Amino acid sequence: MKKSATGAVHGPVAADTGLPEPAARSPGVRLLVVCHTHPRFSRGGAEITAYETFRRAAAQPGVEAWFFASNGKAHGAKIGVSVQQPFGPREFVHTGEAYEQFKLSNPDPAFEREFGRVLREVRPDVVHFHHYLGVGVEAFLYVRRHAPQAQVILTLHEYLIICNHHGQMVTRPNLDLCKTASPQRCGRCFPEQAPQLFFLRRLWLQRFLREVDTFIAPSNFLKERYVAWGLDPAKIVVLENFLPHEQARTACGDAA
Amino acid sequence: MGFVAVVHAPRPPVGDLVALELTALDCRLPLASQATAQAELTLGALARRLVQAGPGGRGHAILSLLPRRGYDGTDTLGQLWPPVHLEFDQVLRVPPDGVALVGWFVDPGAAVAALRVRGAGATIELKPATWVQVKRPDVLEALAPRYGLEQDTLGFVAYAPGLAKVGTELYVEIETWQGEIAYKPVRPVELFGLGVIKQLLAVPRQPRARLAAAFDSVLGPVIEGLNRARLARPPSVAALTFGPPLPAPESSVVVPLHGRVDFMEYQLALFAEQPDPHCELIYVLDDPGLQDEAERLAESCWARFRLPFQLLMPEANLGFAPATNLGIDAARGTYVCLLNSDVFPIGPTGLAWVAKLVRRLAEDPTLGAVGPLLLYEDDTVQHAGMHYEQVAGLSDWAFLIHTGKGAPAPPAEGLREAPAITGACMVLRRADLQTLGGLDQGYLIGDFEDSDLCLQLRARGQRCAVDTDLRLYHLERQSQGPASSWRMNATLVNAWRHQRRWHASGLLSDMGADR
Repeated sequence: MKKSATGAVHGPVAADTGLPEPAARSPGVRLLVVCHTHPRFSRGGAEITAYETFRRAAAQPGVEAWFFASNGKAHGAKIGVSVQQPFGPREFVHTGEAYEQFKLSNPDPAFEREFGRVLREVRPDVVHFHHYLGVGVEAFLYVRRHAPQAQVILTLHEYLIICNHHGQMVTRPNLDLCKTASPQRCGRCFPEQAPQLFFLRRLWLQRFLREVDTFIAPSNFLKERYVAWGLDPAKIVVLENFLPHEQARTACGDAA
Repeated sequence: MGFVAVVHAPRPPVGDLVALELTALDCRLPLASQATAQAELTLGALARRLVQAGPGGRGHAILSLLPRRGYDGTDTLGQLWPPVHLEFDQVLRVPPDGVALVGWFVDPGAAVAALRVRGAGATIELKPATWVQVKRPDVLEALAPRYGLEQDTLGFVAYAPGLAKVGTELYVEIETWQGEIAYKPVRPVELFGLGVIKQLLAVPRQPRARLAAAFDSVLGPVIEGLNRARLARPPSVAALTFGPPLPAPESSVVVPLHGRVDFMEYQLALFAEQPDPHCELIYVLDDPGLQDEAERLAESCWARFRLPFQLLMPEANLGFAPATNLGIDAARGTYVCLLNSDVFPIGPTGLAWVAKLVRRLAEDPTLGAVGPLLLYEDDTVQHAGMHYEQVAGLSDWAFLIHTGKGAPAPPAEGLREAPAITGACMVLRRADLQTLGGLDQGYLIGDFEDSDLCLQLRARGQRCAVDTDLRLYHLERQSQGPASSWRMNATLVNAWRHQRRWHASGLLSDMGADR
């Protein structure tokens, strides 16, 4: 059964509740939302939207949802495990030190093992990544390996894939606005790196992004930038991110 | 009865005269094995007169020879006047029978008539005109005030071959125009690593006028001798296997790693996108200092990408050809793909390109080696075949020129024959490689080995071609680390060797230069 991945997660939004309409979704969908951190640890837009996706989906009949967050050191590491569940059975928290900024990569072999175990337990139909920070872009591949049935969705929150300067598309050190990335342009911002490495970075990231079925761009502007960089426009859906529900804000904020 | 005899004997050192036979008188005069040096004044008056009146009016010269002493193991250079400075920083045994001398030489009064290396009954003339020149600003600074020196090429690398027993004690004999003789003991050391070769090659590029002589007389034979000696000792090799070994691979991809290991991570990630169950991957880490990093990265790559591969790690830095040959020896495929670590597939093609190149060889028995079109990151040509040209300022040796480099990529039009193709990505039959003994290990870095292999195939009647239907990226020399002073000379040693091996074949000029 081929599910409409975006429909499964967001769906048409009903005017009265602000929540997706249950009718628009296939029954029995198992959703795993992955994010680089947890709103209990920090209050950035991506983690709030991710958690809200999880919370709203979990509230829907016929949907089972799980939340997987990185940045677990904000909670506290436990010796010998990199995935723990301090917030209950539906939420996983990952701790790892190996994450590598330049390739947005997590070379830690333990992460493959433990994220793989989560994927085999959860058996998701959809894995919705709200970020790859902390978990690494290899995580898309792990979904293919350990949950081959799952659709992989990635919401693009900023330009980290395109721009090594914190994804901000501003030059270094002058902070001028930048429109396109290229090995030469990026090499000027990071003279300590050979320009060819930026070429390789793109090969590397494109290789893992090819594992993603659907990209969600929160704006047309962002979509255009990613298409110019090399993403397949047919795979990109423009959908605005959820703003946090008042209720969710309270839930997360009070708990944090 | 008494007489004075002057014996001309250029070969044995002073004092080594062992016997004098006067056949006319039917007698044999025993002489002390070590003749005694006599100062002119100690000669009897009669003897002195006889010598002075000596043959050919050379009496004075003969008298000046009298105080010469034989070599007694001590350095007597300081006794010469005008002064001569000759110092050795390093004296290396160069198998089979030579020594390389690295040092500096200052002869401000142009007093030196001859320099000879002596030992174990052999005498080898050193010819400063063929020495490799080395700048020694430190020597210049120290001695310029004393002698008014201007030229800073006071350092040298010299080579003395033909010393049968280089293990025995050696010395350098310095003879002046005045007829004085001084000695300098030299004690050769035996150093056989790649490091000492790099050290020797770190000399400045020689002027065009001296280039050929420097390589013919010194650098070429010295580097070849040291290289042969180091390769005669088989290294111990650690091998790690990740994932199950393939039962009967059709092809084996051999990738040497040196200087950096991170390209392995990019390659394995990209290759895993479309694995080939008939293609085995063999990495050879030719950089013992990176072993820990490589092992950890290999472990991580296997966990992440699940593409089986082997990692071979020789205990010593072997160089490009020997490291590649280690991988070839471990290969089990019918075909072998030689691959650089900075070659990457374009798009989601993974390893699929290997089987396509293999198919070319399987379909055409006259084809000996085939490679893809290699592109730069801006999609222009990095490699579409190579040809030979002379390079201005670099002797008249043939150098490899990448045909059409930097031009827009040509259309896909099947095989394009070439005089040679790059070893950055080259597929061959393993049987051919075995017959040819792998890459020629006499070359030092990944420079001319590929051409040599292509020429060997062509000499056997096999062709080399680029498959323009297949494209990969090649970042070119990113895998070789930063340029260093020895690299240029290593390239020149290779060019020198390549020229000597192939000049007479006629294969260097028959194709390609007109493209």
